[in-house]
Amino acid sequence: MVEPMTTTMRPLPLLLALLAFPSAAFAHRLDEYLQATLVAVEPGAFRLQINLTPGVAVAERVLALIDRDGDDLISTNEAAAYAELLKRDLKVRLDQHHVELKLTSSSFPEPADLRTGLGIIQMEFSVTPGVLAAGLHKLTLENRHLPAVSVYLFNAAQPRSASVRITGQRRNQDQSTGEIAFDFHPPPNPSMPVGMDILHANGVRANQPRASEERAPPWENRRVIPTRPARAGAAPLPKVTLIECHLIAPHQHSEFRPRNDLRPCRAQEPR
Amino acid sequence: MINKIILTSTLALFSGFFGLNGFAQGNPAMGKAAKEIAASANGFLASLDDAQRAKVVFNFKDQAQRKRWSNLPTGIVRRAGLRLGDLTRPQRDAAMAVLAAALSPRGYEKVLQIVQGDEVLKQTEGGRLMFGRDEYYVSLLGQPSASQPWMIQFGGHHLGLNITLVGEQGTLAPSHTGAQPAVYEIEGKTLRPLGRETDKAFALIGSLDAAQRKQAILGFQMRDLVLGPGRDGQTIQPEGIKGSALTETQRELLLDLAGEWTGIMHEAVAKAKMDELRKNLAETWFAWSGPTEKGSAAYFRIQGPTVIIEYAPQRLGRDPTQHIHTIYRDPTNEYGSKWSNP
Repeated sequence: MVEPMTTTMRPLPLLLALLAFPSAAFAHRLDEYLQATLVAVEPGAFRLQINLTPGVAVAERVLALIDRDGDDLISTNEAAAYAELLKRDLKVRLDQHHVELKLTSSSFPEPADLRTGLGIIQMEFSVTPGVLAAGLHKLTLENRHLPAVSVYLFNAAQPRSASVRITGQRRNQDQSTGEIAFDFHPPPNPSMPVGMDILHANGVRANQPRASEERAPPWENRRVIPTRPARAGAAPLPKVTLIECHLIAPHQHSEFRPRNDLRPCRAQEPR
Repeated sequence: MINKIILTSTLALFSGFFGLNGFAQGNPAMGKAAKEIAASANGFLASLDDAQRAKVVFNFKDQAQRKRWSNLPTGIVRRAGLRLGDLTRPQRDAAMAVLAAALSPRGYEKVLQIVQGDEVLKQTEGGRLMFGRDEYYVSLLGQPSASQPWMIQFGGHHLGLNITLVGEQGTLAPSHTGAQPAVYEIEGKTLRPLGRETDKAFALIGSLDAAQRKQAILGFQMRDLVLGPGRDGQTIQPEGIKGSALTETQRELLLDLAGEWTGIMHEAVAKAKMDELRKNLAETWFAWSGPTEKGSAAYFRIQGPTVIIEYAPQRLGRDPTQHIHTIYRDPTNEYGSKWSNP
């Protein structure tokens, strides 16, 4: 069933759209502008990947905001201007403080594809918060872009770094506002042995006390990464062994993290 | 509501058209199956002329072709490879025989019903050329082999199968299935391409008690897939109820539901995947958004260490239960990356 039209939509454009695209109208997005945001929380930055899909009945309205000169082409300047417009409608806060978004990439389909309700605009924004203190934080996004015709998705990406742990997500009913609570624990200085916890590919800690001195260390699952050839006359480089590991702050030392939280890191060990 | 369609073709003719007799029979070991699938693909290649062969085979590491799949019709997202509508009848049969060899009988049947549903859509929704059984594409990445990595891609509107085979291993991740109409009738027979998924999901949510539902049901609306086509390599934070909080019976219901996607592949592959899912069951999450009454439009997600499944009714102008998108992913092994390291 067609959802009730919003008061800001006029019947005529919808009717024209339906007449122009009789099958596409019922096969694909109609009077909604889907804005799907995936938020990646990383130690040095936050990335907002946004997919925007205007329905067939709202595509002209969205296109009018993009193709300002109406030449049925989306120029670089027009794309940048629309990204700026969207950016102004995205309110991002980190621990209640407003943070600035920076556009990092965008792609626009042809206007003809947008009019079918099938074209997808993709944009990525990043936030560089500077030095983030260890501990709990909250990142909030409020999307105010074309609310009368939009539907939203908001999700936290699964962190790739073991120093970030998502502790909760909250959204309002239509997901136009979302909050990600996360725990950030930056790795300590790698030169300091305290707090460094190394897991091998088979899940055994390298610095775990061994039950028996006779038991062989679990080196079997290490992957040896070839090093660059040494320059003539230079001392041969030691072999570098890449093992799956993560760094845990001292107060977290009692817990193992799940395997999928592991991230590769480099450790040099003489063989 | 069932779309009552009178089609000129009979179901029997349709079955013959897609070579239903080419079903892989029994449950052979994957080693044997790998040889049969490769032989079937070589048979398909032998049915083509040189120009067609040049169009259908891509390098196994061709990233652009690998990602050229979508829920969208081919008129919007152009596929490459060979279009079924451009093949002769024997060539089409040979192409479908490759799928029949690589998939389970029920997986193959699901594919046929999705394709037939698009033919119904074409006949009921007007004369646009972007729908219908001719608008599906087949391609191979790499050379068919019982030992070396290669891929079969088959898809079009509401279907994107990415079948990666590496010797005795195989995966369907990532793949998209969808249906519109989700229920239709041909010659008095009602077909529901994604009917089992739908029924099993309602059985699972119906089995949860009030406290479990409180965990499983998301407090917001879900209007589409989160990790649909174009979201390769991305994973989201799991939500809902964890497998460890389910009873033994509920866990079996969850596995049975996930089996509707893993079971699309050849039985030998499907069994290995199901064993893996069972091993990770305690760490697998189930989330739901929408009403829980059977027959209503509701979103659900299954997410574990090696699986992501989403099911999303589409509210696009008509009854959302008649237009469904789903996605199947394995965040650890998309396109067989675990075995082939492309």
